[in-house]
Amino acid sequence: VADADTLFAEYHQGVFRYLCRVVGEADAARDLTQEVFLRVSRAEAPAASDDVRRAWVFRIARNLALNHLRDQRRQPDVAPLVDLTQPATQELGLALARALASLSEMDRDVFLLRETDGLSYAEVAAACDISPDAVRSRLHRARQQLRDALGQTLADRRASGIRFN
Amino acid sequence: MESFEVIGAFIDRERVDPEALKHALSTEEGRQYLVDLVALREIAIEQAPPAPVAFDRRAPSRNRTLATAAAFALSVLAGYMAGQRSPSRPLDDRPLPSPVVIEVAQPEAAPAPTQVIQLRAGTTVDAAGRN
Repeated sequence: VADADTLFAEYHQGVFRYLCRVVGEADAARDLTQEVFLRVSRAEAPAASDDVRRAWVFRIARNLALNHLRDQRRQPDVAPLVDLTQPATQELGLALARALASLSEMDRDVFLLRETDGLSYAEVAAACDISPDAVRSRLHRARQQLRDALGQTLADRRASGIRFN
Repeated sequence: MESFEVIGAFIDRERVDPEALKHALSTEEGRQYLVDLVALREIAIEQAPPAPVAFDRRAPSRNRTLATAAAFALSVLAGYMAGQRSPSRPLDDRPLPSPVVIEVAQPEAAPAPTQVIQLRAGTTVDAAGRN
């Protein structure tokens, strides 16, 4: 079974990225990332495949993020989670944060876990406690809404060229 | 538009029906959707602030800081409540402190004079009392 240090090394970047997008503050995301792995260190990681462990870590992260948002009693409406010395990047981050804030909590998390952390549908399903089919339909809905909300931003990105990640 | 789910699943590296994918991509709208999904993914994974570089098991997290502050406030409140509940007598009932008596010794009688100097007007007297 992987220990907390190993899981931290493997997943902390992804957990932090996800938490940044959800809570909207880099400092809070750093604290929450530490809290995620503190909980991981105190619990017994599933003695299963890497996929199951990754979904377990992100499930902890998601629960902490939701608790944090409930405590804050506010929406993550503004999130300049980018290099503030680059105005274009900052603008992009704000546009995405606003668009994400318009999604339902579950649709947002499904989208972020898939897009920013590359979880498979099965992993997202385990992290969010829904079925893989629900992940697929929620993801599609989230993408449609974001596509509509980020119309000009996407047009700008298309104009400058795209690269498959 | 629901048929475009297969395009999303394809770029998500999920297993898809090739015929459904071909059909979805056979339309201009479907191809535009594919391009937008790739662009959307790029935007979603734009550079984030630096993550914590190490896992600090003792790092003060916000929750633990709040818990510590709450524990401190609770202990102060408990102390205050305990002070409020303990019996206290009114000020007038309190026993007076024991009086402190300072005994001042009576001064002894002045010694008898060894020499009497009588002063008269117009007379000079030296230090030994002589005229």
